[in-house]
Amino acid sequence: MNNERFEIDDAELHAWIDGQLAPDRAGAVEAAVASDPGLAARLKAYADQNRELRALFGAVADEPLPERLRAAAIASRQARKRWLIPVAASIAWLAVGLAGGWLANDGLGGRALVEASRHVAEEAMSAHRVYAVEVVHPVEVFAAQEAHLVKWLSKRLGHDIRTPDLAALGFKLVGGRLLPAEGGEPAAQFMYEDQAGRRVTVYVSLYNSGQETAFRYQEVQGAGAFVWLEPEMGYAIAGDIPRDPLLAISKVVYETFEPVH
Amino acid sequence: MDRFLQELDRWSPNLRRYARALTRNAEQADDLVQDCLERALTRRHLWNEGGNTRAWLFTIMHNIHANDTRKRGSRPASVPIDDRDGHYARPAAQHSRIAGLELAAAMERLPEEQRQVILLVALEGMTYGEVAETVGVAQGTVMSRLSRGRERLRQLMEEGAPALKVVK
Repeated sequence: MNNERFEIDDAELHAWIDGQLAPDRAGAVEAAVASDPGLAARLKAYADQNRELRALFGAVADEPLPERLRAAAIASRQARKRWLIPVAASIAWLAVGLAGGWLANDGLGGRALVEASRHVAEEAMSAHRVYAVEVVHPVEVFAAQEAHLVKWLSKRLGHDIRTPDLAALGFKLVGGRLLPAEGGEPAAQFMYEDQAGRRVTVYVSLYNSGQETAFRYQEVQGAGAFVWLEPEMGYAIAGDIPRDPLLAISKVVYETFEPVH
Repeated sequence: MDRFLQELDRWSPNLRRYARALTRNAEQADDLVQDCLERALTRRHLWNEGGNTRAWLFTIMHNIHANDTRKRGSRPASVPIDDRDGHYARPAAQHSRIAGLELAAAMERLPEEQRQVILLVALEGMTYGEVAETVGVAQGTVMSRLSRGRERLRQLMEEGAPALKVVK
């Protein structure tokens, strides 16, 4: 019956294909399909789409779950992460007590990780020494263009880079620049300044250590740096300020760059 | 292992399947699933044990993906597979598989919002109500996306049909 066909709306046709049609409407849809070859062809095409999509992607659900997607593994990784800040802080204090010495307390990697951290710290401190004294050209992009700066450096480093907010600690963003790091990899430097004109730089580089480390502290010629590694990145905070405020800044930076959950 | 972790492991294969179909990139898909699971774990207090865990997880993943896409300011990177020359060269025995690839290529040409509803219905067998909840729109919007998407796919497949005949 022609009238019956016009009463069927498009949503009911899809519901029929997908097995979601109210049972008392099935008769009307089936009658319409039987009397209209064009409609029948269209609905068959839709049903074929469902079938082919399941054929194309269905097997993905049967693949074994990689370790990184196992819930227990993620949960324990998160638990470790929550520990890292307090542990990092205490280790940093201990390291400070050793008058700028290095504390090789990591079970994994040991000396190699210490070397990696030292390397990142040295790059950061060279960059700090060169640019922190600049009056006219301390940065390439000033804080007025912060959004552009962040976007640019994120793009160049291929990682989500953010500018830590250090206002609560009395430091304002001056701006940032792109730097060459070892192996031709790019690194980013953000410069901050307090009212007294003291400068702190945040150094972020691509450094594939495959590991996380706690904070370490290094001091050279009156300037100190806290450094830590993430699996693919190295971070160092350098400044001509005492260790306490530098540590406070480092913690804020750490929290800023911690992966967002 | 506790119930919550078991539920995550139970639905992860579904999340992966959908993410793979959506992003067309295995690595990117698993990154998305991992982000989703991490967020679910930090929001464990919001989990309703008697509720629909699958819908909850898919909603989390949808929001992360939408956010990523917005941040990138464009469609996420996808691997083009519309490689007609490759199709000509395949033996006829693989005909049905080629048809599947034609469909995958046609899917790439749909707006993502249409692809999402088509995939959630086809792969997950979600009800239209669940799809609406997952993508955060009214059910009527789901229906119009589904309708437009499927019709466009059908047209694209028909346009692609002559190329398929060459294979035989």
